[in-house]
Amino acid sequence: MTAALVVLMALGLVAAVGYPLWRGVEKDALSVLADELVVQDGVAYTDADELALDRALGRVGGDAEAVTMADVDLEEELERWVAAMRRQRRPVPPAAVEAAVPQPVATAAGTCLQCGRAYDAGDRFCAHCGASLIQACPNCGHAYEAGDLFCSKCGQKL
Amino acid sequence: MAEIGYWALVLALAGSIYAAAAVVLGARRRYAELVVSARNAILAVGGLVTVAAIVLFYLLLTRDFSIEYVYEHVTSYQPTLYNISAFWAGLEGSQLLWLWLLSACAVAVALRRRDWDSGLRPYALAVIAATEALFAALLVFVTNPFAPAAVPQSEGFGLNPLLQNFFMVIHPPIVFVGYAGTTVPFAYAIAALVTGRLDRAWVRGIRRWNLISWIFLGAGIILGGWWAYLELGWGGYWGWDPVENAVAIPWLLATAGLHSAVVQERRGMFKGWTIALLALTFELCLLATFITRSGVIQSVHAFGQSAIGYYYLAFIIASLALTLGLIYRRRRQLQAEHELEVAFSRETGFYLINLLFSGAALAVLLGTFYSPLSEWVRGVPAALEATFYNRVFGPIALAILLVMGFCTALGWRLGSAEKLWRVTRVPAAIAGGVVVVLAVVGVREPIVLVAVFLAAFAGMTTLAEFYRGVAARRRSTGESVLRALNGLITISRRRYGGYLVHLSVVLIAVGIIGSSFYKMEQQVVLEQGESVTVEDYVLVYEGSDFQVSQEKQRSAATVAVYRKDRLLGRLTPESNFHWNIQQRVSEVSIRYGLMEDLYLVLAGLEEDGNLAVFQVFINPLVNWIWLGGALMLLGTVVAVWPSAAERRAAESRARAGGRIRGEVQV
Repeated sequence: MTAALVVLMALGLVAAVGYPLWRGVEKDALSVLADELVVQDGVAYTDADELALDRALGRVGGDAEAVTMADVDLEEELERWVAAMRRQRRPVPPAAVEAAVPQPVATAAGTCLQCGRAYDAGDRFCAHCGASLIQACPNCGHAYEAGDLFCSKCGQKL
Repeated sequence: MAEIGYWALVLALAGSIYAAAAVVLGARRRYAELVVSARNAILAVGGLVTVAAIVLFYLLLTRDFSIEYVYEHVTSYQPTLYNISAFWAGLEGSQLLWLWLLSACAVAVALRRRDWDSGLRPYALAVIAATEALFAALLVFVTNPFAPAAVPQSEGFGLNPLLQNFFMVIHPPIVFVGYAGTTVPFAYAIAALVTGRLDRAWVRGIRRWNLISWIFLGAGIILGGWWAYLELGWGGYWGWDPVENAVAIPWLLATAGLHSAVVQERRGMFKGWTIALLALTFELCLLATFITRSGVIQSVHAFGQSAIGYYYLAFIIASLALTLGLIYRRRRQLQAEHELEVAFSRETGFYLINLLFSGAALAVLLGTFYSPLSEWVRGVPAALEATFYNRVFGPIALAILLVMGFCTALGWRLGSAEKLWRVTRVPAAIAGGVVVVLAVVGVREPIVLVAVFLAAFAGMTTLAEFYRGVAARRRSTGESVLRALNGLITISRRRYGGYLVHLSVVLIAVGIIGSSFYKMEQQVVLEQGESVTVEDYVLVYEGSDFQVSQEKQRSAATVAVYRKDRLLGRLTPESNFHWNIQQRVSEVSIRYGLMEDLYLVLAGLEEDGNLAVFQVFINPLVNWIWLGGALMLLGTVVAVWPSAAERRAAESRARAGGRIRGEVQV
């Protein structure tokens, strides 16, 4: 009786372990990418709630508040701009938006890659040949400077 | 019957070794069949360990005295409840209980609907399975609960009378749930280190496991204190005994770990801290068993001595080395995404909390090991007095209260002294008022006044958070106060659950302050009918009662308690001689009150019952500790309950699930 039960338990263990090896399983068992999307989803929901609460309580410290508020304003401004453009079919951004969109500038002085002349910190174009000193990463849109080999934001090879 | 239990454990050992090896191999080679097979092995191990547990219960309840473990802990006359709790009264049974709970955790992890951790889970399962294998191996080779008795017995020895108490029925399983629970965060920490996915996903994912194991450890400590208060008869609840310390150390580290994980999740900082704290919590749970079971440290209740402690030590050293090696390998990825920006921010507060709790844990750990260390270094064992712990731990506890008060009032990132002053001046003023009132009433000890101030300050800043939240909601929605409070908690269960726990800590702190500084103890000798006045109680010794049973000789004395000529009730402390251990065990009798407990111990009784000696204790505010424990549990439940945001995320996941999965097949 005892021996039979022990053998039964052993067979159960072997069957549980052996079945997937024998029959195979669906191949998506190791997809990591989907998990990450799902996690980001959950993070976004919780963070949105927490941020709303913190803001209601005046708890978002320092410039964090200013930054997020500016982002929201900018988006609204852009929406209005797109709507206006659609109405008028005239692709000219209003001055307000141009001022609101932060324009990238060179942070440090350097040498123009096009003509080799020196430029100053704060310049956007080469004063000699007119080449743009600032470019946007093709992957994420982050500005990079002449001479950078990789995007500082996303690591894209430039 | 016993053989079935034993062979179930042998098979569980084989299954968990297979699971640990197969799951790692399967994940490394991306061989899904092997991973699923290992997962099935873990489920089967859960079943096998359950079979072993059922067999042990069966043997205990049918009083099969041919089994050594049953003979040692069960008698034919002790109540059935104690025959059940005999399962975890001894070394072998508690090992089996631990393995059983651990295998339940493993099954829960293995069966979880796959949503966030399929990259990590194989490695986490491997760590859990390896831990299961350790326990199963010990049960099979060293502490077999199914071993037959050396000589056939017709009657059992029975449970230690000290353990015959309701709290001792529930205390060990609760602590073991905590111990087993800490394995899961540890396992995911290792998995995150192995895979290098050290972002915040894993920290979010194990939040519930963290909280649940933490609250079980905390509840275990509080129930253990309550048991000591009721059963040991010295009027106190905590004596810095090595076995008590053994649970306190992982709890302190787990508390730091919880806070550290919050910062990692919100701000991407303290990654190394979080991993180290979670890993150490697990290691120290194992060390707790080493302390309790090895006989290295003498204690009033070190339950049993055996070589098993050294197996634990070996496992601790091996797993610690693995953790440290992995942390070293991933050191670059463990760097913070942000630096601490200014002194007045929540991050700084959390950083201090990490330091303070780890420091407290380290102090208690060193104190606990002082005796064997001193024996090793100087050749003489020397135990530390409770005063050492009070001197070291007291200031740390006060600092924790201070940080708790400030931290709740601070925002994330950038704060300023001015902003801090604006939110803390009202709580500080109220706390100051409390101190002034106490000083007027006659409390003069500076340390007590400081402690009360800090506790009141922490309590008030936390209450102010609730007030501010409710006010903000009412401004925007115009709801009633209760509805606004409910809405507030529903929106951010984690935050307000945490604040409830903070309030419970304030209650517990007040209880500890009151009962340690204003405890009154007096020995009185009374003849039958004689009365004595102790503070504002009048105690009248009314009579005695003697009974002899198969289990013990019961001696009880009844005392009527009056205050201002009004009968409050009768207390009946006992002092019983137990045949099995040939010792007297005191059963105290307590009159509970919110402000103070009247605690009566029968210290001696003449054979004719004419003269009785009582130890009378008046313990102020002790019940605040137990009430605080209940509030701590409530706060944790609030924090663990799924929040609205999580439900929304789950819904959107359910809607998009199939689509996402379909798209990312690469």
